[in-house]
Amino acid sequence: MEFLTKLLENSTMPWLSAMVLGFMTAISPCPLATNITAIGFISKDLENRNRVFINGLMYTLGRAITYTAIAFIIYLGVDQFKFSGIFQRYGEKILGPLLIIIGLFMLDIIKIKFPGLSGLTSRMQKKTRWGYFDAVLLGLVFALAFCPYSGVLYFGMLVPMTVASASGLYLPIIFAIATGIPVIIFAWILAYTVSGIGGFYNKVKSFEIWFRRIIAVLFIGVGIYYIIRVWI
Amino acid sequence: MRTLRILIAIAMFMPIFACSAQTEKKDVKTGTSDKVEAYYFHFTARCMTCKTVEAQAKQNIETLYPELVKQGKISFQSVNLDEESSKALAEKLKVYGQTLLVVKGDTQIILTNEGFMYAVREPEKFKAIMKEKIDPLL
Repeated sequence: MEFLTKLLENSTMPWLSAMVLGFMTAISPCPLATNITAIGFISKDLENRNRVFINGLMYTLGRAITYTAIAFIIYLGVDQFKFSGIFQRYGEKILGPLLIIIGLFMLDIIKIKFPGLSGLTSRMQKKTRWGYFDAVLLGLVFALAFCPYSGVLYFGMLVPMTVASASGLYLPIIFAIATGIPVIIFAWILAYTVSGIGGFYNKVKSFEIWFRRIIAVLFIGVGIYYIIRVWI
Repeated sequence: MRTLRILIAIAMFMPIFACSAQTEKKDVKTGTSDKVEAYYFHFTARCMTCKTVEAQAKQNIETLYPELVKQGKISFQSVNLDEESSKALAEKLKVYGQTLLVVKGDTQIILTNEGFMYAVREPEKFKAIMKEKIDPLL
């Protein structure tokens, strides 16, 4: 972290500063909870490691869309301080309930269709068709949840750099990539090791269903954590 | 043709002026007394770094200007934006999010970025920056 701060201080190149700010956001303890859920979500397609990688890229794309859109709206002339205040005020408050709802969906609790696991398996097959959209959506939403620290890094440092000129509008994309890289790496490692264990027992398919349930519980757990943190 | 080119050039640079004016909105008029007031605005949910920034800022003011604090010429206040009672002050100072702010009369100095960069790992540097920014106000 100290190294990153030094790098940021001495950087004269905007793209490097944007990247450093992204890394600082990714590794700070503050958004760690969302990063862990994101890692779980991205690595849920255990069977196919390429898919895990593309999931990660799509998740990063989602983040890039949010970061660029916000910077662009401010660039167009919206009051920067007012606008960032809205995200700081409501971002984390909405995140908790949202994570719980996503978790319930993943567990199939909201749409109970027993007997058998036909509901779950058919949904998994359907996933391949409209495939990566959910990862994009997750990145989009998670990027909106500014915690106090990442809010200062983004609104206080990256946005002023970005809106200083039209040529700065590429900076949020670099920032987003830097926030996404650690998530992609960890998701890939997780998928690699866990699918290795699953492969050993030759039951990857059923293992994957259980793994997804664990991820769903993780979503609900982190959601509860956020609700306690913000509301109580 | 030439005037057209000039017009295009002006049109291209307009947003830059518009936006730089916006980011330099740091010195806003508020119109209060001669007293120097430091505020830390925050929400109910807070992170470790945020708490450190507040604690350091408060401590720095107390150690840098002990006499002035005693005389009531400089003060530090932590304000929770989620509380109803903070609304009037936040509106007056035009603060909408987490901010470390020093106010004297018409001058507002925002030190949020400096706080988040240095308060945790280089508290001495943060103290020096605060001194550098506040001294001219006294």
